Amino acid sequence: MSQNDSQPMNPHLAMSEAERVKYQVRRKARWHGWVWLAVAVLTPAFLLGTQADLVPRAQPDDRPFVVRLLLDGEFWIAIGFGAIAATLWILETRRGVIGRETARIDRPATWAYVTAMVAVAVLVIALDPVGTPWWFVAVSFAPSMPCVFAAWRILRS
Amino acid sequence: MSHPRHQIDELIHTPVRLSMVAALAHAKSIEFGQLRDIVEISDSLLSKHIATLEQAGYVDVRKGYHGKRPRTWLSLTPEGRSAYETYIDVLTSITARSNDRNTHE
Repeated sequence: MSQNDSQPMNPHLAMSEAERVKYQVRRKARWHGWVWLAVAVLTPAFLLGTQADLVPRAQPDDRPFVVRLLLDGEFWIAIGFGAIAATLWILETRRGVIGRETARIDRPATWAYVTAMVAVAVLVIALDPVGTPWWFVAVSFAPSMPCVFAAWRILRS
Repeated sequence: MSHPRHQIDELIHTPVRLSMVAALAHAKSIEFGQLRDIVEISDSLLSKHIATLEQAGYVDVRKGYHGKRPRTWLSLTPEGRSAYETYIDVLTSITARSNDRNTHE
């Protein structure tokens, strides 16, 4: 685009420029949908990964706490998910286009997600499941529902 | 004065301002640097056109900080959004007329 243009333009050209810009803005705004999708996938992976005995656990012994912590598989799972969450958060703060659908869906989806996570935590504390019983597998996917809905709304906008 | 071209909003109907308003119409808000990249113009030219649109009440400018770096966010006001929708309707009817004329010729 030229730098000194303040002259009126041809209507056909104007329509095509409006379309070009619309496509570009929507493409940039959709990035946020992929973040919701990542959260939808990572949340049950985190909940099931920490609950299932898939990783070696540090046994109580005479070694210092820090050594036991570093040998604990769950600690590294938590660190890994924390790093992913921090990266997503940093990328989010740098985004320069906030889509209209994102602005509409973000707050309710976040509240639904937080509420579901608190409910899962309360259930785990109350029922103290051993391993991954069927109900735990089911509830670990509950927080993903608002994320998938938000991702779907943003990515199709 | 029945031709739709008489209803064209001259404030929007310039290459830079059309791109700016079209971009803002499809977002809740856009950061200054992103809008500059989308419209493909210099910072100073963008600032000049923002001032024009802000004065007309079409654009809302919000200044803030990201860490220590100042950031400017832009969004369309309800008046700006309505003006853009009307503008697109007018353009659509002009292009439809010209397409009809080309078909009949």
